[in-house]
Amino acid sequence: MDKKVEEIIKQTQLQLTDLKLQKPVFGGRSGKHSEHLQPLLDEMSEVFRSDPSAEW
Amino acid sequence: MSDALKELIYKIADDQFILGHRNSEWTGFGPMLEEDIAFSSMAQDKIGHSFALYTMLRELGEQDPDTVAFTRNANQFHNCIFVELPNGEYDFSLVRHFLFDTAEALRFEMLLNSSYEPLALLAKKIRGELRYHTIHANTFLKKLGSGTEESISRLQKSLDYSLPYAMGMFEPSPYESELISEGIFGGEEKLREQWTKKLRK
Repeated sequence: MDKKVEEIIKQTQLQLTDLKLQKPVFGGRSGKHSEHLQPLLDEMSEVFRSDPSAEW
Repeated sequence: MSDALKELIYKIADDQFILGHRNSEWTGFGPMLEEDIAFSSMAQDKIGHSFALYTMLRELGEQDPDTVAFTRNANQFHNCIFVELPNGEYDFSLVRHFLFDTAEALRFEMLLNSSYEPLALLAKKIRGELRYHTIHANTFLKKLGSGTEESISRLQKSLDYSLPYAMGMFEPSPYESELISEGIFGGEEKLREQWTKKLRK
């Protein structure tokens, strides 16, 4: 964390648009997600759900 | 106090768990072997952090880490939407890694002073790993952000696309004032300010 993000961006040719103009995408913290989360969870939990009581 | 603390730990854990998995999807597909290894290694760190946090929740009366990780549905997850977005092209993954990990390192820096000792101890323990993650992100952003016309325009497009999602990392919890007054966490507003300052110094 020594290097600040702005400093890093300044060392590139990238432009940072005004953050005040951004409309934050909220909802995740209260469980309102995009359509991408459930398929990811299904994939991640496939083995566990196949036998939740299995001893490893 | 307990609900506020649990909500805080859940959201941090879920961010790490989901982004850890997204990072792991780069295994075997990285643009170069070194990056393949880096994303795989960061994936392990992140899933390790989520495990430590889910174990902490167990102490607070929640179910065991495997059950918490693998049996909840999407609407029971507290991660920000930013981390669940598909990896897309490498440029988006890199920009997300940069924006997210900077915020995550700042979050844990704030937690070093948490009145909830297990969180303060964890923050101390994983400091080195988080540092490695931000160094990695910074190095590649600098490299590609001043590389070729194509790498610059790709990163710029991903940066513009990512910013609204990145701001979503700081969605306030219903327990902000409680967490702040109890000295557990300095709050999303303060975190966002610090992060922004790092963007616009």
